[in-house]
Amino acid sequence: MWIGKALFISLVVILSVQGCGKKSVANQSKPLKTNYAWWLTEEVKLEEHTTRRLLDIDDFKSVGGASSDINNSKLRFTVFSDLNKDGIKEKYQSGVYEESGESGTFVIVTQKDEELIILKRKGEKLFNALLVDNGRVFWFDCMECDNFEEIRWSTKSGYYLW
Amino acid sequence: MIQSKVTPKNIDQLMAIIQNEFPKSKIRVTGKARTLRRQAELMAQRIRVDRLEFLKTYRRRQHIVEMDTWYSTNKGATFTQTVDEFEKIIIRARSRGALVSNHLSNTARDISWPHGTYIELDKIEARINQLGASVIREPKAAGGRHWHVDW
Repeated sequence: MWIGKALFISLVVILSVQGCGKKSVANQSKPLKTNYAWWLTEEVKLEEHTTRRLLDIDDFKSVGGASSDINNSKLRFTVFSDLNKDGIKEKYQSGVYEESGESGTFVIVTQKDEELIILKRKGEKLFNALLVDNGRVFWFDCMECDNFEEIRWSTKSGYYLW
Repeated sequence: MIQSKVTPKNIDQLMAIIQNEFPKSKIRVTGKARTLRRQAELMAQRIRVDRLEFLKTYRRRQHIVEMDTWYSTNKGATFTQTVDEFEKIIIRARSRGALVSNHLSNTARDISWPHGTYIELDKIEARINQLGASVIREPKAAGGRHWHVDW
């Protein structure tokens, strides 16, 4: 009987050692994953048969914490400013597009429902938003970051990115 | 805190180590570098809109002179042709070790302002430094406060 007991204990010890070994190896080889904010990874889907989508806070409602991230930020999907100095504020709205095999983000500038220009940035269909600071308009592709371009206007060139 | 013995091979690995070692600080990568093509597009756009302001904005380095010379001798070039050429100029400049733009670096990331006391923040910064990177704290950034990490 003691032989059976000894065999059983040996088996338990062997399995435990093997188990520990496997766990240890698994821990060592498990690569660390970098945690990116959702706005760098969450692609916005276009509705069928459409090529553009203006962004709204609801576009990110399935992402945990996105609404509070956006509300706590100074960035907005729609802003107003009078860059062309004609006394009437233009409307600037950010969005995503996909057409002719090309995708990216855009800002559409309108005044009294008339489209003045669409500024585009090729790439993925991700979060992008705007900020008005002292009348100047900045186009960000992230929050809590410094990645932005300024939307400017000149008599000679019209609207352009700087 | 158990420190990882892994040596980071790039900025993303470095951030993964920091996030793993300081989970309570809830750090996330909030901004990545601009692509080389995008940098070329911006510079091409800028010189075409206002050459003089372009020359005022950028310090007169070899790649800026090359861009200006190419632009001045190819006035009829399309926007895409200008971008293609500027992309080549940027690649050459970077291979010489020139800094074209702080936003272009693929060894830099913006990260969220870590949760915690200032003592804890100092510990995180010290660990980032120990792993070979530097930190610029940007508490008043227009797009939201964050840390800029350069490796």
